[in-house]
Amino acid sequence: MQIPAVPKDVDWREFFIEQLIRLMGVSAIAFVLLIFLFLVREGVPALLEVPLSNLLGQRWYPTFEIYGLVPLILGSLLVTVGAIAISLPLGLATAIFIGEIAPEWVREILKPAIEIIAGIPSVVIGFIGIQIVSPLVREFSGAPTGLTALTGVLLLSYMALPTIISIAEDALDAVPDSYRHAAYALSATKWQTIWRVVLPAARPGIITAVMLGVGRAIGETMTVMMVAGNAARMPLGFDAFLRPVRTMTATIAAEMGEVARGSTHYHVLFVVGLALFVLTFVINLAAALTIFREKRGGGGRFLA
Amino acid sequence: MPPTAKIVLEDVSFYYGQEPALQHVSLEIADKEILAIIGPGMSAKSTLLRILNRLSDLATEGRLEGRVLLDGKDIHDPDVSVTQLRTRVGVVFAVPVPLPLSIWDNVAYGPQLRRGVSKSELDSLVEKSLRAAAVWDEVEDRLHEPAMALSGGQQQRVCLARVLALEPEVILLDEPCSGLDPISTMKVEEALLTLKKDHCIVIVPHNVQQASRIGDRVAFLMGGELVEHGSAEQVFTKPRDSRTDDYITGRFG
Ligand SMILES: Nc1ncnc2c1ncn2[C@@H]1O[C@H](COP(=O)(O)OP(=O)(O)O)[C@@H](O)[C@H]1O
Ligand SMILES: [Mg+2]
Repeated sequence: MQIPAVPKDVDWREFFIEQLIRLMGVSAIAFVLLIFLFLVREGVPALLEVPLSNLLGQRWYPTFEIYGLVPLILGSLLVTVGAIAISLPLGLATAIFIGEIAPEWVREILKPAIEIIAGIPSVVIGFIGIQIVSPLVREFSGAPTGLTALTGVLLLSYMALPTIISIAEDALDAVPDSYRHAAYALSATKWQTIWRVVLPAARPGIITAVMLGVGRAIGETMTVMMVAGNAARMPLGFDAFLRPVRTMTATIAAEMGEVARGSTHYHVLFVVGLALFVLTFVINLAAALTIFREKRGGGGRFLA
Repeated sequence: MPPTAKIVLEDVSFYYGQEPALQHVSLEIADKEILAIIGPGMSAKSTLLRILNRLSDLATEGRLEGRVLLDGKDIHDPDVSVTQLRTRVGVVFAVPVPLPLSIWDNVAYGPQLRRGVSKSELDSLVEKSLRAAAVWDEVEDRLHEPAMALSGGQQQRVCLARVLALEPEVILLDEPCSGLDPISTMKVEEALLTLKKDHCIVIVPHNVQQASRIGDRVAFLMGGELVEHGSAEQVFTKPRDSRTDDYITGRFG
C-alpha cells in the first residue's frame, strides 16, 4: 500500500504544531528548573551567613537567630508518614472495593463522591479540624491540647485519600480482564485473584498513587497550620503524635509575611523551601526508579 | 457411543442477556479422548468451553439452561465448589495470558492456592508439568525470570503447564495454537496426544486440519447449534449434514 504524499502546506503546519508542542513541553521543565534556581539564589545567602551547625540544629528560634531545620523537616515527615500510614490501606481498600467488588450503580455513586472530597478547600478542612477533630483528639488522648500532630495526620490522611483512591482505581482498571479470568481459571477465589494477581499487576500505578498522596500531604500548608499546633519542637518519642508539631510548609507560610526582605531569616525560609523541594524530588525519584526497575523486569508491561 | 462419558451436556443453552448464544446442545464427551469442537466464528465454541468449568459464571447477565454433568454430578449443584471444579477442569486460552510472575510462579500458582504444598513438592510438580507441556528444556535454566519474556509459543506451553500443575481431569483448550508457529504448534499437539492417555481433552482447534490431526471425535457447531458430532473419521469423510460438508470442504479448498 502506498501512503499518499503529504501536501506541502500540511507539512508546514505539522512542523509548526510539533515545534509548539515541543516548546510547551520544554517550558514546563524549564519552569521547574527556574523555581529551583530561584530557591537556590534566595537560599544561598543564608548558607553563607548562618553556619551549617546552626542550620542542622534541633531548635528553630528565629528571633534569637537559631535556625535549626531538623525539627521542621521531622515535623513534615511525621505528619506525612502518619497520614500515608492511614490513607494508603484505607484508600487501597476503597479502590479495590470500587474497582473489583462494588456493583455498577454503587461505583457510579462513589466515584463522583470521592471527587467532591478532593475539591474541598483546605481552609474548610482546617476549620472542621479545629471545630470537630481537635476536641475529639483532646478528649480521647487526654492531651492538654487538641492541636496536635495526630490532628494534622487525621486531616491530611483524609485529604490524601481522594488522590490515592482515584489513581489506584485507575491502576486496577488498567489490569486486563484476561488476567482475572486466567486466575479464576486456575481455581483462584475472588480474593486470591485480587491479592495475588490484580494488585501485583497494578503495583506501578499504586506506587504512583502513594507518591501523589505523599506529595499532597507533604505540600499541604493551610490545614496543618490551622490544626497541628505549630510548636517547632523535635517530634521524637512515643507521644510525638499527641504533641503540637510544626511543618516546613506551615513555617514558611506563617513567617514569610513578617520577615524583612533580604534579612537572614528571609533567606533561611528559602532554605526551608529548598529542603522541601529536595525532599519531594527525592521521594518522587525513588518512586520513579522503583517503577522503572519493575517495568524492566517485565512486571509493568500491561500498564503501558 | 463412547465407552465412558466424562462430561454430559443435557439440553444446554446459554444466553448473554437476552441474546441466545448456545442453543439446546446435548453432547457426551468421553474420557481419554480428544474432542475437537469446530465451526465458524461466533458459533459459541468458546461459550461452550467456558461453561464446562463455569468461567461462564463471570459473564455479566449470563444465563444457563440445561444440565452439565461431570462424572454424573451436575456442576451447577449448590454443593459443588467452583474453585474445586476449576482444579478438575483446566482451561488454556487462545492468547497466552502469563500472569505477571516468574515462570516458576506461574506454574506453581494453582497448586499453591489449594493446599499447604511444600517447596520441594512444588518444584517437582513444576518440573513435571513443564515437561508434559514440552517446554521444560527451553525454560529449565530461567525458571525465575518473568514468563512475559518468553516467546509466544513458549508462553502458551507454560500456560498449558500451569493448567497441568492443577492435575486436572479435563483439559479445555480454546484455539491454543492460533498465534503459534508451526513448530510450537506441533509440540503442543504432541503434548496433547500424550496427555489424552489419562485426560479428557476438549479443544477448539484454530483450523479444520488441526481437528483432523488430533481429534478422536469432532463436534460441529454453527450459530450456537450443534449440527452434528461423531468420530473424526465419520465427520470428515461422511458428514451427515450438508452444512458440515460445506464447512469442511470450504476450508479444505
Ligand atoms: N462475554 C460476552 N458477553 C456478551 N456476549 C458474548 C460474550 N462472549 C461471547 N458473546 C457472544 O456469544 C456468541 C458466541 O461467541 P463465542 O462463544 O465467542 O463464539 P466462538 O468462540 O465460536 O467464536 C457471539 O455472538 C458473541 O458475540
Ligand atoms: Mg472463540
